[in-house]
Amino acid sequence: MAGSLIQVDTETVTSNVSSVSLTGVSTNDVYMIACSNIFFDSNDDMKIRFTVSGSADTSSNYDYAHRAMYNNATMGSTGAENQSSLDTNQSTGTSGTNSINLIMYLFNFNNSSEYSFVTYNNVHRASSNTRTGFFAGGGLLTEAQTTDGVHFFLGSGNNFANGTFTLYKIQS
Amino acid sequence: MAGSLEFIKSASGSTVSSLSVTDCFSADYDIYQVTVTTLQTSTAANINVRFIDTGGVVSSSTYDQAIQLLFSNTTYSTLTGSNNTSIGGVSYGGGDAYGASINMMVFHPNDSSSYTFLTDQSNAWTGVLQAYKGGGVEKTAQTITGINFFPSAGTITMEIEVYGFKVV
Repeated sequence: MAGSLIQVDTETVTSNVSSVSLTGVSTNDVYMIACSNIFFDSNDDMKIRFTVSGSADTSSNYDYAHRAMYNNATMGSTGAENQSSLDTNQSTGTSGTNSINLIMYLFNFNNSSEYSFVTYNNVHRASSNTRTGFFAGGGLLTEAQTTDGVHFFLGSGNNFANGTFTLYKIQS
Repeated sequence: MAGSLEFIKSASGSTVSSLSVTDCFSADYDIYQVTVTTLQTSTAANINVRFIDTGGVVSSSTYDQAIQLLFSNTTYSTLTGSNNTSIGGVSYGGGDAYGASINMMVFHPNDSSSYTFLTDQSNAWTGVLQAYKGGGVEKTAQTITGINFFPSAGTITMEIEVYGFKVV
């Protein structure tokens, strides 16, 4: 059988929810998450954790590094260790004019003897300065354990008001 | 079992001033993958992108971009800008036969209440490797139906394919 992209889980947000989880990573294949037009009920910063048996891992074992590219500011490089989540974008806003759009690949999530890795491309528009940003990089959870998905939440406790979140398996 | 990445439409052109894929974005999908292969230019030129709406190619000053250029032999540089008339420099043609390629993602073009975003990765050979990585946005809340590529000078030869990510 030819390789395929197989949908595993999806959530479409059209009214306020505090968080979104996509689960169902259950094989050693590479998985992909596609997120489109994510915005909030109040300006905030989207964060990402991995899930263990469906629950977010809240430990301070997340590292990430990315290149931050802007339309109207000097590009930068961000690296952080021992964080309680991944931060793959600037703070964004409350409409489709300053939303988050993310493609993330998941590696080793089903492997209990290795760390869980992601790579990501995130194009979005900041709410505070209407700055278009493109962040490209990678992250991981430095715990040798099986993880089964990704949990999205907002750093200041606001709600997701809109967005489509989908988990696909890249089936070999 | 059917996959979730579905082919929608393609277009090809040889030594043309621009090439479009029309009516490829719809309510059927929210995220699209756009690939460009066999890309050549008649002279050294940036490859630029515009979107298409019901009125034709959108050439208003409504495009922002943030693109990093990576070279195999020299310091990296940037292609950034605000309120431009296109997303300029998503790739490059060296005016030779060695080719270039582009892989893009386009986000929610059919949503009339949001801006249309894209990510871009590409590479080209100009005697050295040039790789491009970045993003852009067309800042009009409107329905986008297609995509248009054109060189900053001369003509292009290229093949474009558009795929949709199905969500059920």
